[in-house]
Amino acid sequence: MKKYILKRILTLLPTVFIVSVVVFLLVHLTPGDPAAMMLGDDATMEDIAALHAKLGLDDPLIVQYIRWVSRCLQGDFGTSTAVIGQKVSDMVFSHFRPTLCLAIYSQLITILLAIPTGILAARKRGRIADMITSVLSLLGISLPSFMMGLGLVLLVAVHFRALPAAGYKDLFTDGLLPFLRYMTLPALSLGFIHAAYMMRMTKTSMLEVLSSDYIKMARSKGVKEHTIIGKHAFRNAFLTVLTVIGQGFISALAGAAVVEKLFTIPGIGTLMVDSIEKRDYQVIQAITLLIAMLNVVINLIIDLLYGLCDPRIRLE
Amino acid sequence: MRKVLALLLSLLLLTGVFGLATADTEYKDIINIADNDQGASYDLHKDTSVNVRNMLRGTVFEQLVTLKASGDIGPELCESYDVNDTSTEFVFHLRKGVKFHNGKEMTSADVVASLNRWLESFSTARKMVGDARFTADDDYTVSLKLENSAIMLLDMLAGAAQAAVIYPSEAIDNVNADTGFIPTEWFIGTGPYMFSEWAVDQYVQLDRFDDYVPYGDPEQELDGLWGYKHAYTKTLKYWIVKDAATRFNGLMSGDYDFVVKLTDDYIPVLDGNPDYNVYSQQTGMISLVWNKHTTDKYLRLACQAIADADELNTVNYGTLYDTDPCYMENGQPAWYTNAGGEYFCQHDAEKARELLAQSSWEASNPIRILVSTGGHAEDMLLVFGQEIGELGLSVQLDIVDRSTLTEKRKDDTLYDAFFTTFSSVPVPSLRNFLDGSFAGFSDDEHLAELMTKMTTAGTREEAFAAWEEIQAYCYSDYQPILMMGHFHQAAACTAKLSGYNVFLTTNFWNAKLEK
Repeated sequence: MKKYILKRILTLLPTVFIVSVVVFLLVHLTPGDPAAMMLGDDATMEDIAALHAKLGLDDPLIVQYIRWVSRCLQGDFGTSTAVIGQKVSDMVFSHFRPTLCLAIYSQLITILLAIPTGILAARKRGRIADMITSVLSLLGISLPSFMMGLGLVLLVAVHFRALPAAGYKDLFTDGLLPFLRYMTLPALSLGFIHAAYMMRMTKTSMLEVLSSDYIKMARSKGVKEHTIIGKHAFRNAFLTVLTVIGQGFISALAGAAVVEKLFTIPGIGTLMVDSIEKRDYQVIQAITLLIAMLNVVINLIIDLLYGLCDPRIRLE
Repeated sequence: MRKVLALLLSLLLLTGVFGLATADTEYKDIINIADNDQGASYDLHKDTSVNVRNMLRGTVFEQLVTLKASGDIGPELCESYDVNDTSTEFVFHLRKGVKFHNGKEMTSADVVASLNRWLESFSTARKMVGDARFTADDDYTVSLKLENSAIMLLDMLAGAAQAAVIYPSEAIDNVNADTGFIPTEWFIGTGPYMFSEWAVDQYVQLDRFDDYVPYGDPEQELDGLWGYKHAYTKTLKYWIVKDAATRFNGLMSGDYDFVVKLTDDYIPVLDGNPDYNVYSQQTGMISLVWNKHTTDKYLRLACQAIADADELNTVNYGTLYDTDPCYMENGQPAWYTNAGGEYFCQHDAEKARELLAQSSWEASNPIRILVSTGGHAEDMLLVFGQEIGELGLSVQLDIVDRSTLTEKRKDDTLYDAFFTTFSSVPVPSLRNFLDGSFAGFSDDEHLAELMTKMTTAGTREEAFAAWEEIQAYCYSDYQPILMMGHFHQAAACTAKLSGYNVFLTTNFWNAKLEK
């Protein structure tokens, strides 16, 4: 097991290297000038050119790449050009926390919504409960997250004034209740879409398991239905669901930009979009590296959890 | 009878007391403002972004002089100023006892350090003054002596996009050596509000500065940006809300008290609703900047002749535009002129054909137009394509993001025109499309001569006459841009908000929000 984990962690190195080269080239070869973005629309070309040189952007690309990599290896990811003077590592860390909290909260909503309804739909196949969950899951898959978010804002925030329309409160500094007040609508917008997909996967997986011989055998032996579902069927169906949870978590971390923008959450998605718009090279590179590493790490955790859930799986 | 009188008197008194009670309105300690973007730095000497300037100029930072509603210059951090007849010597007599937010008194050392840094940061002002720099005559007197006349220097000190604000000299000493910008902890000014907190991508919080030393008459309303600042509200919180729908929803849900950049779609919802106030003001120009290296003047004149301003602007701005030919805004009476206005978007196909006949432009070549995403500018240009289609011309749109457009427009081989808007400037010499070094390359000798005539004029009247000549020449002959009109920016607020001042932007120095 240790050897396996070490091997997987070592695969990070070539991944990070390739990602760093590709992202560096993509970012620097895309037209756009951070100096012009820093000085604003009314800056003169002369002032922009002077700042461009000051930032070292006139140097050849290879020189800029080596300078960036050598600084990164010393733990210095540079400073932002979109928020002047801010350390990139501080910015990425401060923006990652809201995204991580949102991802966890939305995944909780996803799991709580999707797994029971998925199991219910499988048990009541072809009946009214199954039809309702099918319609809901179809709606969730078809509805973009921003539409869902706008609808929730209109109903809950504007009409009933029950929750705020936008903003962010931190779980650790502001407390649980303010956090829940501000993050429930975004988490629902994000979670409902993932829930729809997970609900379908749970149902499909459960149907497959429920039709297997050992379940029929258990039923014929008179084992109680909730024991069959909870102890025998769901445990086997859970591997597929676990994969979906992992994928959902990664996409909630890396793809929440629209929901973050809609609810003005200062998350990693918002930061990425802004950094691209403002050509904040250092931040774009740092976030891309972070997301690449997260992909590897989360997939590793999922693989390890497979082994825990199903002892037949041996990781080597 | 006495009893009846006593009863009436009591009733009268009670009414009076209740009347006083209702008149004694209570106000909130905080105004929540939804802004549409944040600045890169909030260092006003460097950052020319409209959001940054609108938030901080006059609020956190003040200048030696500022703009009045008439376009005149009013003293802000100086008591008075003297300018000689040839506009080559400027002397500013500073106000005494003005405090920075760190408690230090402002003296000429701070003003000299700040304004000389401003000159270093702002190439247009630097060119105007040459090698001259501000000097301190004594603790409360600052002067500038020039070789050539600089009739527009005061206007630039009062209203340039790169605001000539005064920092303590220590802030200038602590400029970040790598970037050349002032660090956040040194955002210290003399204004009625202090820069308290910047939570990146969330909000900027400004808190009242209790030792603020106001100027002007407390009984008078603000005159433009000039006058007495009461700072009634303890905290101004500017939330960074980039999405227009979120700003609007936040206003409706009560999360925000004031929202900027309201799009045309939401105005009908708020119009007529007594709980909200909506207003708009002309804030900049809409234009297609021609690349003078690839187009000739007859093509440009033909396009201006065929264009229909209403048809074009409705697509992009709805009702938030004016078909106004002036290259300056209508809120700038000192520079406002209709010279050459008869050539503005004439929608005259016959005339356009005659002009195009004199052009060397091959009609089979599409006009390559750079335009950035966001808004409906590309739809507007498709309408423009249909309009010039009457002349046998066509457009080819290159739709890119704003940053790419800024980069591409430097290369004169990549486009024939680019679409952009220009925000307000205090003097016409800052209209960068008239400058040969700006994208579009207005390197015309006659235009350059007229610009020099304006910037070195001996009097304001002579400068204004030269400006009228410039605008008339641009419309009738050179056509550096296809002028389409002026855009408005709409804002909305709860009806409980009062006392805000609208000039160039919305200023909250004297704003109050009812509980």
